Amino acid sequence: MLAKVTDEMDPFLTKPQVEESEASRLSIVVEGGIGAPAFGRNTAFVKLEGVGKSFGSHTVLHDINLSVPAGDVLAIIGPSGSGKSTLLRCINFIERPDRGSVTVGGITVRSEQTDGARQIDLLRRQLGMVFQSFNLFPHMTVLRNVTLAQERVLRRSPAEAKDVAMQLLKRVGLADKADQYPSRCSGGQQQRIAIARALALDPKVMLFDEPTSSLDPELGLEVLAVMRELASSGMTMIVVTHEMGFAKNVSDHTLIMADGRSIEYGPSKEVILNPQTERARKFLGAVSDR
Amino acid sequence: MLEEFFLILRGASWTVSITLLSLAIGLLFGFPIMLLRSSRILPLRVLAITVIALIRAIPPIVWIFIVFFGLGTGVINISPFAAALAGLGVIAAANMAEIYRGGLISIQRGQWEAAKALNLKPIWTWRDIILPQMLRVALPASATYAIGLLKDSAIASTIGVTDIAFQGARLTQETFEGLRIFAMVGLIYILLSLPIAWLSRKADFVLRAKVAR
Repeated sequence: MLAKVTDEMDPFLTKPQVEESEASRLSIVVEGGIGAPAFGRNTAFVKLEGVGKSFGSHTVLHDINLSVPAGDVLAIIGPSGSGKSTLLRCINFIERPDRGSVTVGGITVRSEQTDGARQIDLLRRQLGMVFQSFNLFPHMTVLRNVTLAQERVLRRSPAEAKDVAMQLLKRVGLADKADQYPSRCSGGQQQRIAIARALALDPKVMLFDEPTSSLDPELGLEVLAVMRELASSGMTMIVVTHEMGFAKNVSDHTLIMADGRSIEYGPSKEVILNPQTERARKFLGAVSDR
Repeated sequence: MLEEFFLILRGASWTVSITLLSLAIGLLFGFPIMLLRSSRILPLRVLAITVIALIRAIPPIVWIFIVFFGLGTGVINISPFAAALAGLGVIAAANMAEIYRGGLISIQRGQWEAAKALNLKPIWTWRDIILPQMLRVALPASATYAIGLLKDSAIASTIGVTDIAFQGARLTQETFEGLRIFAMVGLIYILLSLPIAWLSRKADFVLRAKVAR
C-alpha cells in the first residue's frame, strides 16, 4: 500500500538552506503594491488563521492555525478523513473555508468575504497545485497542457510559453513526451507533467495533494525525485502525503492531523521520531510497522 | 418509375432544410437551456426541468399543430414551413439540452478543479477545457438525434410543407400506387440519413484516436 521509502534511497537527506536570495525574491512581492511589511527570514509566507470547514453538521476542519515561512517544506500527514486534503484545498480556495482567513504573500482572504473574487485571484496566482489524480487535460497534448494557462493567465506569447514549457518538461525529464497525449503516458509521467504545468505559472508556493497515492511505489519514486529537486531549489511546498520517507527526510516541518484537528506540529524528525500525543503515536506506529 | 422517384425527390430540399434548421435551433438554444438546467440556483433549475419535461411530453405533431393551427390562425400569420421549424426547433432545443448535459456531467470534477487551480477565467475554462470534452461525449447522441429529427420532419407534411412525405402522399393519390411510392419515400429517407451517420462515425473516430483514455 504505502511506498516503502527509506533513507538509502535518499540522494540528499537534508535540503540546502535557503539563502538571502529568498528574501530578495520576496521583496518583489512586497513591491507589488501590497503594502505589507517586508518579510523576514522566519515570518510566515503562508498563514492560516482559524481556518474551519463544515459539511452540514459534520465539522471536517476545526479552526486550524498554521504558518509556513518562505522556502519551507511542510508535510501534512495523518489518517484518511483527518481533513488534510480539505485543509490544503482551503489554501487556494478550491474548497471555501467557512471560518478563518488565509494569507499568502501579504494577500489575505477571509472566509466571510463575499467580494473576494479578485483577492482569491491574487492568492491563487501565487499557488500551484498538484492533485492525487493528476487532472491533466486529456484532449490536449502534453505541451499544450503546460502552455495553455501561461497564455491565458499570464498572457505570454505562444513562443515564450512554449520555451518555458519545454524547459520545465526537460526539468521533469519528459521533453520527449511534449507531442503525446496524456493518455499515452504512465501515471508517474502524468504526475510529473502536472508538476510542470503548475510550475509554468511561476508559483511562489506549491501545494501537493497526495501526489503519489494513486501511483505504484516505483512510479511514485520518480515523482518524489522531482519533488526533492524542487525542494532543494528553495520552493515553498505544502505536501499532503502518506510518504513517511518524504516527510521525515525532505520536509522541514511536519503537521499531523486527526479528526479535523492539528494534533502535532514541529520539525519533521522531532515530530515523527518522538511524537508527544497518544493519537500521533498510534498513527505513526501504524505506518512505520509496514 | 424513375420519373416518380425524381418527383418525390423534389421534396428533399424541404426535408433537408427543416432538418438542418431545426437542428441548428436545437444546437444553439440547447446550450443556454442546459446551463439553466445545471444552474446552482434552484428556481432556475426547476424552471428548466419543467420546461424540458413539458416540451418532451407533448408529441412533435401536436407541437406543430399548436404553432400552426393555434398561433397561426388567431395570433400571428405563419407559414407552414416556419411553423414546422418553430415546433421542431423547440423540441430539438429541449433534447439537445439533455444531450449536452450528459456530456457535461461526464467531465470529472478534477478538470474544473485543475482549471481553478491554474486560475483560468470561466470563459477559458469553458472554451478550452469543458466544451471540447463535453462535445466529444455529446457527439454520438447528437448524431442519433439528428437522424431522428430527419424522420420527424415528415410530420411537417401534415400542415402542407411540400417535403418528401408530402410528395409521396400526393403522388399516391394520383397514381394509386401507394406501396411502390412509399417504398421510394422510405428509400430516400434512408439515403439522406447515411451522410449524417457517416460524418458522425468519422468525427467520432478522429476524436477517439486523439483522446483515447
